[in-house]
Amino acid sequence: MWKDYSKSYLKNNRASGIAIMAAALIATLFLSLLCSLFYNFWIYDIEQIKLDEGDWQGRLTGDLDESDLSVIRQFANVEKAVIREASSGEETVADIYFWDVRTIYEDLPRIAAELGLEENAAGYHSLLLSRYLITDPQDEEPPLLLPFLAAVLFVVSVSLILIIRNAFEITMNARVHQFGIFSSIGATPKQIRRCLLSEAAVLGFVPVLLGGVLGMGMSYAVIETINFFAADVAGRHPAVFQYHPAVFAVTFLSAGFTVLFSAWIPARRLSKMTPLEAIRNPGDFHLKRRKHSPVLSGIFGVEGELAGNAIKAQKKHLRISTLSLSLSYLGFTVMLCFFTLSGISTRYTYFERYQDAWDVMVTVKNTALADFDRTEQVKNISGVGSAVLYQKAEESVRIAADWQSDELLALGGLEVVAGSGVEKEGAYYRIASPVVIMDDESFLEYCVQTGAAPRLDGTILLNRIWDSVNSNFRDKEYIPFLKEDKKAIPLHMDGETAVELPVLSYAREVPALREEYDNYALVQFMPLSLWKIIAGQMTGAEQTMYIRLLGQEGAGLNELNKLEAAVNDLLEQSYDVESENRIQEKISNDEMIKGAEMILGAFCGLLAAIGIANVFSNTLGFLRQRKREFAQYLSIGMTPANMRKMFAVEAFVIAGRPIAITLPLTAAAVAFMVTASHLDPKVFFEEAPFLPIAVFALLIIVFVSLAYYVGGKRILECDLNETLKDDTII
Amino acid sequence: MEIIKCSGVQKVFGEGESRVEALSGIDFSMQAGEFAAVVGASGSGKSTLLHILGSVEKPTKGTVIVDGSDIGGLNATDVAIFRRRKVGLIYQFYNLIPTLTVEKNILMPMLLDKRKPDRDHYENLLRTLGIQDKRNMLPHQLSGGQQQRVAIARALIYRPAILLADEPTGNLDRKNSREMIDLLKLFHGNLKQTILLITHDERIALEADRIVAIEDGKIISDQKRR
Repeated sequence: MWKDYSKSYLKNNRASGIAIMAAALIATLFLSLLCSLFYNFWIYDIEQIKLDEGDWQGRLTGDLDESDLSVIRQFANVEKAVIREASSGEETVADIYFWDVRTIYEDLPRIAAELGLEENAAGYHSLLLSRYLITDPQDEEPPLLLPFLAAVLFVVSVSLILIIRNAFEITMNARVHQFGIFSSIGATPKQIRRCLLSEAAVLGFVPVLLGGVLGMGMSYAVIETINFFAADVAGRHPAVFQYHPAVFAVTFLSAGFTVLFSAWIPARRLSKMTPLEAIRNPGDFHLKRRKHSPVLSGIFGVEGELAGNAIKAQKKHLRISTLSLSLSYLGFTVMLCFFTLSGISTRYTYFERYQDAWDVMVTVKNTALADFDRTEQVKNISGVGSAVLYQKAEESVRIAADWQSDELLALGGLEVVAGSGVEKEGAYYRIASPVVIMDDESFLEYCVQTGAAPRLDGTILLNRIWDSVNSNFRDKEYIPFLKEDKKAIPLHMDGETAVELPVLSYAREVPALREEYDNYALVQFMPLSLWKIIAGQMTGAEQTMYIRLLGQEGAGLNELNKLEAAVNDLLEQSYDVESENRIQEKISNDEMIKGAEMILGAFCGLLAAIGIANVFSNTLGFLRQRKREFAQYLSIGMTPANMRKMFAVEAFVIAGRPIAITLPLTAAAVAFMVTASHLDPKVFFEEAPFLPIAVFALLIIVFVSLAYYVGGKRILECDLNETLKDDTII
Repeated sequence: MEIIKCSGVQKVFGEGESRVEALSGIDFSMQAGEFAAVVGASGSGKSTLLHILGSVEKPTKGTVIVDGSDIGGLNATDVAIFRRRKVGLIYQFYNLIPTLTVEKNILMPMLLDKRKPDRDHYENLLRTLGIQDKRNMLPHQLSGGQQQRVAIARALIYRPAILLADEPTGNLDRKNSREMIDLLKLFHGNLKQTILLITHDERIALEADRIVAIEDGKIISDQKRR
């Protein structure tokens, strides 16, 4: 009997069934897409961290040998322990992996204590651990990016789930009357509940399954699209689509549960009503207490007042459409502004800053500059305007406090300007001093550029420090680091002076290299000839060297591609090389941004479509109620023109609300981002995406108006007498 | 045999300023096979009394015993089963399920009970009510009078202890109203069906054996005519 009833109801109310199935399909599709993407991005991030920094979880540094490793392995929670490398001196680094990594911050100190090591001998791969939501309990500022993203995912998932709820709410509201009749002739609450739940299961099963699978497929497509756009990005490994049963469970269970829960809610509501209340339930919208819409009635007269009251009465039903419209519009506008800002920022900090610093960069791995034997051939490649070969070394210097420049002292000295960026040792400071070792020819050119005598037996100090007191990171102002009265600088090793180097010049300008220098470090440039002499006493040299090439004046993408190919041809047989091309990289970057904009834009567009679909289903789904409402207005002499005006006011408010909510929020978010990135607001306003934001707003208005036009037309076509006396709901 | 017995039935709607006492301690009983009409002005409480007797509304105070069952003490499931088996309800606005055929609408109380309908009784009802050829139609394909006949058939399919009719002619024209009352009298005469009819039309009330008048939630007169 119930089967017949459900079948005939669905047959005669196809729109309701389709609305529920569409809502279940769309919501599950997005839920599946989001969960799958989140999972894949999370896995990818972990893979990238492991590739970049290794997969170790905890690390002990000290005088360790095989017997210590045996002790470590005896701990129940230790999965494995391996000696990573012998560091300088007698210290050894052991990487430790745990079965249950959640207790690492308790277990590792215990292991260190067992081995008689100091507490600071224990190290943690905090970046990797943070991806498993494991943070140091002592850390006052744990990384919040992942919890933040998870929270965003949760909120969006809830809003998607609400779409299913809303679809059921609309349909079930109209059926309370029918179930009231059933109840009045003896249907038990259990029978009604079972009927609603079976109906929901039948309506929801296929869309939920299909939505889940489609979402999975879309997620795969998104990952492949990202791989396609980011194929040329250096240092990135291609993402491999993965799917976990837990993602499946979250998607299907939450969507399935929502479908059943949504059907159970009206059943529960029915059980709390007497059959008579249910029968009498006209489904009309009622205001719980008297409301007044002074703005709408002031502007639009009595139609405005009526429209305002109707919207207030429908508040609960319109909540989800308002939410999804606002979310989609907010997401769209903030995303566009973020990309605009990010584009400006990248241009300022990267492409424009390094415009003349490099055309092609070659990284030669596992090679010291001193061992490289093709310097001349590289410099003689056809199309090379300038070539600098260099290597970097991380050293440190110890300078007396009174060696600081007068300008630096006037600001309060290194402690004020650099904070914890420097280490004080009595009357001295220990300061990081990165050394850039250049091929001799390039160094001599740099000597000429800085006005120093072209010699190969000394170092050029980059004598500048960021005035962090009077300038921000975007528009850095520099002051001299040191007084320029000393002729030599001591390089330190293990707390002692290893070597003293002649200072050829205190320079303000840097050579044309694609390098970002630390804010509070004392950078030195030295020729390869000098480095070869002192290399034996220094330990900070990187095992990688770089070749910076500039093409001929005005070289375009073709020329740079040729140059890149030529240098690769020359080196790749003998060396492990990676190359980048400035113009190609900009193109790749632009493509990546375009791809991301496309994916997120499509996502926002679909969110907007869901919001609009909700408005449609609200408008059309409550047709009967609105029919009666408007028939009542007609019966007291309201003209169709009055009613059209009322519809227009409603559409205006419903479309306007998400826009009115979103724009101030976007403005606040943009103000925050502009302030945080120290950009001139004028620069942002010149490039702000006003047009797409306005077009999107217009689309919302157009679609909401269209929904009201369709609904309004149907209402106005109804027969007044029939509507007023109509008691059946088909 | 006493088929209905109400003692001290009170019904209050709303709270505070909006509190309305629809029934004020009503004592009322009916014998099996009786045909009674309850009359009163709009808002007098007559429909509330009928809905309480039909267990679609709960009394605020008092006891209601129908065919030996104290319906105040039944839980939601038992009261639904009680309604299904013991009470036939007819409303002014028919309250048929619009998506089910006439036959399904009529047989619904039996189907809810998973019982096989008595086909003879069913056919007899259709014949008596003149809707044999309408069995496969949907409610909206019928006239008001025909819909009300379907509602009567549905109310009687389970041979209820009592038939409660709430202004059954309120939405019908004079001819259909007359026919409706004739039908009720026929079922009362032939089947000895106990009927309680609510109406504000005194001419219709005069068709009953007993007339109970209600005013402001109280019974002000109770007269047996035959």
